[in-house]
Amino acid sequence: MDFSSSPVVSLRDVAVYQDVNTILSNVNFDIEKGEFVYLVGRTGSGKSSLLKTLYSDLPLLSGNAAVAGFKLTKLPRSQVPYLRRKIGIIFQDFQLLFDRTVAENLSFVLRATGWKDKSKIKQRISEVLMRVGLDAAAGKMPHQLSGGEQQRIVVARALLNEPVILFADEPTGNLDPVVADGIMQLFLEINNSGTAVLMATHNYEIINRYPRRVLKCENGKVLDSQVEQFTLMNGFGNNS
Amino acid sequence: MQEAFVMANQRKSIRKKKLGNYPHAMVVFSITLALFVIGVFGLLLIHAHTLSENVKESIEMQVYLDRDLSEVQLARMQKSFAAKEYVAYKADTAQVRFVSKDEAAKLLLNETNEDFLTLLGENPLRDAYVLRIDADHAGTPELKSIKLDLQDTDGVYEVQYVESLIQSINSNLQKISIILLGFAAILVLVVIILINNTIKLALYSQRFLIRSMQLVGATSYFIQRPFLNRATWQGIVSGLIASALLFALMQYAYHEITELQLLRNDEQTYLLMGALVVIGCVIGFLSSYRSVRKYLRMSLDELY
Repeated sequence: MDFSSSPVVSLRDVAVYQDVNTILSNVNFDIEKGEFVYLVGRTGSGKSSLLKTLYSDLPLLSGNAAVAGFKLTKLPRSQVPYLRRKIGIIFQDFQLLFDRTVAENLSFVLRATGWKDKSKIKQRISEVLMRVGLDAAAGKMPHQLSGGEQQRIVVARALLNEPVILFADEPTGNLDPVVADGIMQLFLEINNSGTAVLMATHNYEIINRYPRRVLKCENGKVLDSQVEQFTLMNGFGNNS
Repeated sequence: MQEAFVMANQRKSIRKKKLGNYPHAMVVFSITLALFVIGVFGLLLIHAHTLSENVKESIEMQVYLDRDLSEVQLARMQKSFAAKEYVAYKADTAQVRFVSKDEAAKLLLNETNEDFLTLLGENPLRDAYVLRIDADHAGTPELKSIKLDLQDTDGVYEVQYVESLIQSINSNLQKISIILLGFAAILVLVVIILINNTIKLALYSQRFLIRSMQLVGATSYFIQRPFLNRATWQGIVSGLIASALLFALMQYAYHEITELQLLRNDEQTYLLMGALVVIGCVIGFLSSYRSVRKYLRMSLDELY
């Protein structure tokens, strides 16, 4: 497979299911290396389900999809961890390991992904923490940090293994505008260094300030701003 | 004042840190308790077994001899009795005891307080050998054939033992040991379920942690390993604590009831303690293996 030219994410005729209900159908899009893409849509429109399908938390039952070189159709359970190492996931609810410190959270991921050398682990942790501007938080427990700080830790964790793409599920969801902007800056910085980003968000202010390609989940379909014109928000006229 | 405040704060933060953590103490405590109950029952079984062996080994055959046997003949008989495979051994000596008719007369005199020797003019009793029978040969039919075997020996006048008593002892021992074993089986089953549930509950508190670990790309094996190690160690530690408690209980019992010392069987007791450690470790491992696997395979909806 030629990695330099093939897209990081590629979906053909994909249908997204939650249990037995079809949430999205006939989904087709590619995300190229180093691209920044917003994913918008109302709550319940299938953004999260689509993301979950991409990191194989929901099984892909119909259509073809490839993420970071992994074919998602009939991906064996044992392969799922290896897919997740190629991508960085930023969860709305953080998914930090609440029973250990920030540094231990990060070193867990590194050890889980095959890092053995203690000094290298330490170095990598301080690198990513520095990158998100939280190098002082290494010894703290997750619950001792604010929401914005926890979100930065999650970003740091997603960066540990130098992923080809970041999936972010409403990373600014419950943060105040200033902190949200800080997180957004962080994503743009990461994107500038060559990592693709797919970011689900409700925050249209941010999209207006940093316009990029937009995918929109609506009425069981995914609309692509590269392919067709659509309004960002519902009920605000027909053309933007 | 300020120190107290700082201390209170620290305690608060410790408590907060513990919240949602794996409940080590609870798990070890429960497993220890369960293993201790098994252990107590095991001790009961061991002591009952030793008791039944002792009872069986105190079964004696009285072999009355013909009158006027020579010393040589007596010695030869003693030797041939000692060589029988059904005679009990204690510290490498066959339990064959010679009771001369004079001794027997003295014993009888002591018991009855009647001077029958002067009354009769002669001693009507016979010389006798008293054989202790090995516990393995103490079954009712075996005793009958032993009696016949002894009666066939030259110079033997009559062989006697308390047949009805032995019969009732044997049948009672059998009933008791079946009941005890039945109880033991039920108890072990209950304890296994108890430990399994304890560990399952303890891991239930970790289910979202397990999920988070999965989401960041850890393999099932990598996630499972620390949980399995921990449960196995907890089983071992619980087994050791239960054994220590058992040991203390035993020492106390031997101190209070000195007669219990007679039933002491150190070898089997240590074996029991070893078994407790092994049971704890195996059940701990298997239970946590099952539970973690279950949570590893669950989707988010099922976890809630």
